[in-house]
Amino acid sequence: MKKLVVSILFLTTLAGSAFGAGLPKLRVGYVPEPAHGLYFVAKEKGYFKEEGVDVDLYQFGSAAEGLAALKAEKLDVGTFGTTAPLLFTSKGSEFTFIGGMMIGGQAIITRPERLAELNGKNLKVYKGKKIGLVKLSTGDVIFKGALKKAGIDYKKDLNFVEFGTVAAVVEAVKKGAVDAGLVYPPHFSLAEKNHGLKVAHYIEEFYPDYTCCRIVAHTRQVNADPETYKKFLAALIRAYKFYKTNPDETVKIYTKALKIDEDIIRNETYVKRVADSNPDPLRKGILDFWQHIRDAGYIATEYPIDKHINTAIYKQALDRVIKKNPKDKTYQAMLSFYKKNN
Amino acid sequence: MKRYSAAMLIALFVLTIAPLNGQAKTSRPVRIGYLDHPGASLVVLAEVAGLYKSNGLEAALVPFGDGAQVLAALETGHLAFGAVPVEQTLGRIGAGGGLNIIAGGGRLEHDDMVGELDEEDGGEPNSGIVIVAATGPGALDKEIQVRLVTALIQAYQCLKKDPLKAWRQIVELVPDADQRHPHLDPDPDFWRLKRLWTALGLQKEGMKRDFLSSHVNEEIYCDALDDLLDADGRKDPVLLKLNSRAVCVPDCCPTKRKKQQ
Repeated sequence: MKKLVVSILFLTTLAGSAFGAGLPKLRVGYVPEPAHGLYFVAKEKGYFKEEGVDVDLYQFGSAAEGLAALKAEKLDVGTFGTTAPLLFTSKGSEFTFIGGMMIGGQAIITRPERLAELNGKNLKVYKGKKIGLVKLSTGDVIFKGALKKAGIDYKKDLNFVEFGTVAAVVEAVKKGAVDAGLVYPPHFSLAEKNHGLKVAHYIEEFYPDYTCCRIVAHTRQVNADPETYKKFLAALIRAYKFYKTNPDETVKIYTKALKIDEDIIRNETYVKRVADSNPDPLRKGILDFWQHIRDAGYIATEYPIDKHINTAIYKQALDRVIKKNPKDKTYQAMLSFYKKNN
Repeated sequence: MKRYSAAMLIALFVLTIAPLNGQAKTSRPVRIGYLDHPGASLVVLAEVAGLYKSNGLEAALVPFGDGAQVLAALETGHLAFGAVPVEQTLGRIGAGGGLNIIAGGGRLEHDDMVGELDEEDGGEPNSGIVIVAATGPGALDKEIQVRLVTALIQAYQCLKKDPLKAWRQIVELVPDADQRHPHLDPDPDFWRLKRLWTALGLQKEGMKRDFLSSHVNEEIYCDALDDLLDADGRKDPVLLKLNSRAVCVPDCCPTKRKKQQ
């Protein structure tokens, strides 16, 4: 009996290896955020291998570390925010944006007793307020972009206080050192749960479909082997459909991968829907984001960032998935979204 | 002249002793080469004010008479760090030198506004000093580099808070520095370096677009500044001003994990 079990185990292992053997390999880096979950879904459901690519996932503690690994070619592709890849690219790194992982997701938190004065759907409620933020975080860049779009001179009308970490922003809000703070998931849920703070607004309310974490890869590799990246994105497109249609299992997959409270993940992902884990490259959003960075004065130099955005590979991957599932509503919606945002 | 002869003798002495071990501990002296240039004031002040020591670094300052010698000593492992003229450093990097710029130092103020504007427009660059780390046999690990830059930022704080006292402390090693009105700034400022790089015609055909950025490690400065801001509770106006100018990649998501580790 023991021999039989060993033999079955051996054969199972062999079959598993054979399934991944010979497939092109991609080393993929990410930072552990619930909205980066398409990677875990695609891996767990076997979509990468079904599409013909063998993916190894590597978790990083910070965007800077992850991009340094990408730059050193220890990774083939990665998702490390939007600011960081834009900064690296503008400084000379040959990266190409090929897709996305998260749209939206930033929130403005405050103390419960301040909630009433920040009520409403007009950004003018923040005029004269002291706002805590992590400099150059997505929230920083996008909130300033939203203020500018609303005709508010944020350099004059608001007072921004820069912190090194989002935890420090939460702490400053808690202590009343700032009126409100810009934070990203899962920190606002944690701030609500652990400190009794409240979300005053999601920035999405003022700036729909803004870009957050993008998928970047080496330009040279993308150009040399677009097919592998197409397979990779096709798997993520399928993972998106799974995430849209199988909430319970998706929450379990995210929880297992991230080791974050299941309720927080469910709440952010499916109840409050604070972010959309969407693989669309969102070219227009990247260009807007770049302009906001420049408007904020973080980068003085002009750079044609558009030449580092490749939407064709994603479109071809989406077309391929649609061809196999022509009547699928999720994929058709993705196509409409692509046409609007690229 | 006498001063330069003495500097040359000391430099010669240092160059004759064994190169640093790549895994040097902080208990061993970290050799830092510098020139008699006001732009090196932060390096000297950090020593005389005991800031290297308070950051756990045993520093040995080595005076040199010429930037090329400092760069050569950095590349051969006889120095771990150097305060070197920016044009010479960029030139050496462009020629393939194994060097990383990890912090700014300082430069002489232009006599007139036109000079500053010329530089801003990519014209003739102003002379100045940058802090360079060895990447070859004398290279020290990132943590030590961060400690060194932390000491330089603290020296900058001292200068901003009590300039008279600070200048008095370094007058023997960098005479007349205060009279020469240096503009000191520990920020490596990649974009300024990039302008100088372009103005000097160092980006050659076929050279990778990120060639310069691969030799400017802003993460060291960003980490050092972030540590100091955290320690201070983000109140010090000098640090806050430095932070408002710095362009650092945000510490995303599981914040500070790398530091906790």
